[in-house]
Amino acid sequence: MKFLFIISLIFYALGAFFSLKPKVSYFLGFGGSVSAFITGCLALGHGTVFWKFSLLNHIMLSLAIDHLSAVFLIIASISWLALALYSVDYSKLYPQRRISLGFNLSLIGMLLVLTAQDAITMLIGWEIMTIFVFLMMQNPGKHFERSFRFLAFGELSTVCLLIGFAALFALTGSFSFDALKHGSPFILIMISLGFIIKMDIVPFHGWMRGIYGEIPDNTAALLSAPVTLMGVYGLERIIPLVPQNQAWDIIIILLGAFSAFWGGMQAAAADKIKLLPAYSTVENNGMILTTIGFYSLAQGFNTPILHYLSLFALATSIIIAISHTLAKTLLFMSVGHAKEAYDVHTIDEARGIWSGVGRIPAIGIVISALSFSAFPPLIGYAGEWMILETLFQSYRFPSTALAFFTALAGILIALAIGTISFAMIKIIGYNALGYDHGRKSRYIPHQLMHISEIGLEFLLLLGGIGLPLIIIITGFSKLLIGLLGVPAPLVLASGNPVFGVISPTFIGIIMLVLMIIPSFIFIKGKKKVRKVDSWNGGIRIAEGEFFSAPAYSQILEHILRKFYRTCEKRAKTHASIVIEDVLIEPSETVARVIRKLGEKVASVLMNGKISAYITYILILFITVFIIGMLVF
Amino acid sequence: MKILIGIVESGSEEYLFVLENGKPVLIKADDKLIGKFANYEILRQKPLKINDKPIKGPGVFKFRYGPVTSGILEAGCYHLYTYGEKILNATINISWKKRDLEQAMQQKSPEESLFMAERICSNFAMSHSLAFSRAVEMALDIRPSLLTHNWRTLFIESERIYNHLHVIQKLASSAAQKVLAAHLSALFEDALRLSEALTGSRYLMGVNHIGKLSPTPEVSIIQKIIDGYQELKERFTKLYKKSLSDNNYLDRLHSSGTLTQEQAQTFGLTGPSLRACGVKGELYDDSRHLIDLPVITKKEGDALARMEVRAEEIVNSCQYLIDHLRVSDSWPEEGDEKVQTENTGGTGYALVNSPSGALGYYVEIVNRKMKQVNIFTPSYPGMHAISQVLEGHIFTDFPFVVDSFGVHFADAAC
Repeated sequence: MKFLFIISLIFYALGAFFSLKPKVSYFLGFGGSVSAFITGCLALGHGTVFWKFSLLNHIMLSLAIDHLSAVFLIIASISWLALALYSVDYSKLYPQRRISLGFNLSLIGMLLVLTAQDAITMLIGWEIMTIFVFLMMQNPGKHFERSFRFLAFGELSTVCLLIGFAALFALTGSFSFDALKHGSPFILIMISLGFIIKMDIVPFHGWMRGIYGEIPDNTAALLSAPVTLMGVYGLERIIPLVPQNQAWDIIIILLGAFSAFWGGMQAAAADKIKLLPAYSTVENNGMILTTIGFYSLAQGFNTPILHYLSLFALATSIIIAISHTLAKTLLFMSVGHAKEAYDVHTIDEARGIWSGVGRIPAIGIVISALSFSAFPPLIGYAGEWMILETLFQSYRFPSTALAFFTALAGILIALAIGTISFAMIKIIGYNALGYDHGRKSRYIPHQLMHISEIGLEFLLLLGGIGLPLIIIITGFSKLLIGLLGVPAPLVLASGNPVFGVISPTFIGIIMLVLMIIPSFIFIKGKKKVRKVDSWNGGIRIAEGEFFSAPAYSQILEHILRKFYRTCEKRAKTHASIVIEDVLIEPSETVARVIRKLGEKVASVLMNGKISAYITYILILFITVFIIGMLVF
Repeated sequence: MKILIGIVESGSEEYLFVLENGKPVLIKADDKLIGKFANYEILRQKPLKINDKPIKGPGVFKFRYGPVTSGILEAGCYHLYTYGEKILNATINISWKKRDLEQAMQQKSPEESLFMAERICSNFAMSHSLAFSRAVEMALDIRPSLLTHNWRTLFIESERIYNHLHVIQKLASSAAQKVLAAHLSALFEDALRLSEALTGSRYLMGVNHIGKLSPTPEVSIIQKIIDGYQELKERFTKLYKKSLSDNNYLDRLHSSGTLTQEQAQTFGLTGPSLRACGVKGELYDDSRHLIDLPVITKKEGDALARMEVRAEEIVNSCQYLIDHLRVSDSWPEEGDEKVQTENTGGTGYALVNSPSGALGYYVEIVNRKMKQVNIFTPSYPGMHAISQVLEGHIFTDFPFVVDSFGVHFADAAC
């Protein structure tokens, strides 16, 4: 296992080394990810310590893999290997060295995060990941400031983690995760905030609106799926260890639920083809955060019913994390494929992927979007059913206040599921299956793109049908029962005593059987199809008469105009609707203040006067010296 | 009050056909006079694509409603520019019903042309027939008898009743007031049957001729017709009162398609649409020889006000018919009429208070053949008003705005 782990690191390092030859680099990244995947699979049975190193007297650094690391490594590595394979073809469009270099090195960072057993190693991995993903986003002369906003949020996350772990060291004298059980509420808040920021939870999503549409699609997929997964992993790693704090649990439950609602709502109104999946990440990670908070809250009560419920909530968070990582990777890959083939940016422009670009990316969009829309028997269906079942058992809490807040979160999550389905129908209806309007797409080498897309499509389908297997592998076999003639372990029970049950396997089988007969009749009786133009009112529909994608969302933007701050701009022959994400405003204000501050500082210190520069250096030197003296 | 109804070009001269203090007049155009009428340019250019100002923008598309669509009974087309729900601009294409009837009537005899005029728009068959025949009578110096004059006035009221019933039925149906709509449909059918009893034609066709009428109803059946209108009036009054207590219905009409007096006059509107804005005195006083009908006006100018004007006019018209049919046997058959004439040519013009407003004809006759015919219908300015007031409404308001004006593509385009 250790050998495989080292092989992964070597592959990624070689991938970075050969970054001038993007194809080779991505192939090496693929090899590293395969190795990481096998490492994760082998570690499911029993964990192992890879490496231990004593940095100073009290500080031990270690890399190890346990069951939780293994589960997250498997999830992440599937996304990595699909993206690596996809990027081999994609690198024809974006051959820049920084992207392949950043890709491989950011995977090393993530690998370190997933196997770190202490704060310092995790922070090293965390920074490597952040900085090299930032490198992938760079594009000289373009969206320079926007990518720095991502870095600012990434560093804010690091600062929170740094403060949290420093406090842990100050309290316990250790950086080891084991020391977290002696942690304080402050440590819990700071560390979990660090991970929450990385998950793009509202209001820490302010950087994404401007940048997602501009960066390459493999970068966007990496940013949205595996990178945010690291935040989920971090929370799942530390929350069970730090002493529970009920107030913080409630805060993160509500923050997650609100984030889900907000992300869903903004996704529904998104007009850029990559902004929609980006906001869906805010929604999905909000759901995950809620379930993690719920897990922690329920865990605090020592009753069998709530213990079962906490276990179910934890399983829910992992199922949604799996569903999100795989579906989001697939969605970005498919959307990116089509976007590049059409060379467009908006949902309205990228219509008719099925006929205009290809069946496989269209199916990719359909399957991933259906999974986000909780369509049975896909894995997203299981995840979203599980979160609703979790939250609607809020009455099991002994306190009315807890029951109220968790039920409130349930309402927000239900609304989020509704709005995200609305958004996904848009992307399915307009982009995947819509009319192509005769648009011609440019040729992109796509053999490996197709292989990675098909692979994820199957995984999403099989992930739902094979849910019991995933539940067993992730260590929640207690949640599986047999009921009403459906044999164990095909039924997933949400409560004990039973509250609700589901069997995606059984649903899958029934759907398959029900599809066989109509499919047989359809294939047998297939007649010649004559295609004609669409007509309306006795006349052929002209371009400009088709229902536009923004129009699809307009009614929602009108009804929820207080949330969207919907504003109509009207000139004599021109009209448009402008909506805002008001929760970006705080970060925009901070950005404005920092920019002004920067300009002021620059005008004082970097004004060409040598005396000012020497003063600046002196002040900096004295400050560092004093801090050094105080620390050591 | 002066309302520009149409523009007539005769030879090299241009004349304005104006309704002035209840009388149609033809005035030679000059710049000073033209400047007084805001609708001059519209009537001058007479575009078949009304308010053709495409809107562009992200997500803006053109929703085409028509020309063959359930919901629009005629071949006509609304182009609604929208982001999905709100109507940003409405262009109305009336060209599908353009039959160039003004040209088609040329070189036809007055009788043949009357036949065509009657069929321009069947809902306004009597209005067209009457306006045309009056214009011809003026041109040829024919003076119909008082009896003819009186019966014609009754026929116009009969046409008004069934048209107004039709409009209100459509509004009720669009507002999902299915019971009310069904009752109004029944009343509409009754009104058509009463028209048939009165004239032999459900749509009052083939009754009116140049200078005369087909035989009027037998005295023996007049009482039956009076009873019919009496019953119609009572049933409608009951329904109308009940409908005014239904907030669901009224809310749909209230504030939909609101016009101010100034806007209405800018478009050159007449009829219920103008009276619903509180304007009185535009009625052509051709019925003054009988008794004055009370003029119904409302102030609000919205679809509800237009519906109320029509509803109250139904009651008034029924009462008018009842009162005058009762005394119809006492009308003198002979008088100062002049049905036969030696004239073979001349110029004439006339206006009729059609159910939806002033409907006018200008004719020039040479050797008993039509040399020039100009038709001015209330639906044309009505279409302009609709295209303007639709802006800013959402799609669900569309039928209330459109139907409340009671206009027809066939009438607007000719």
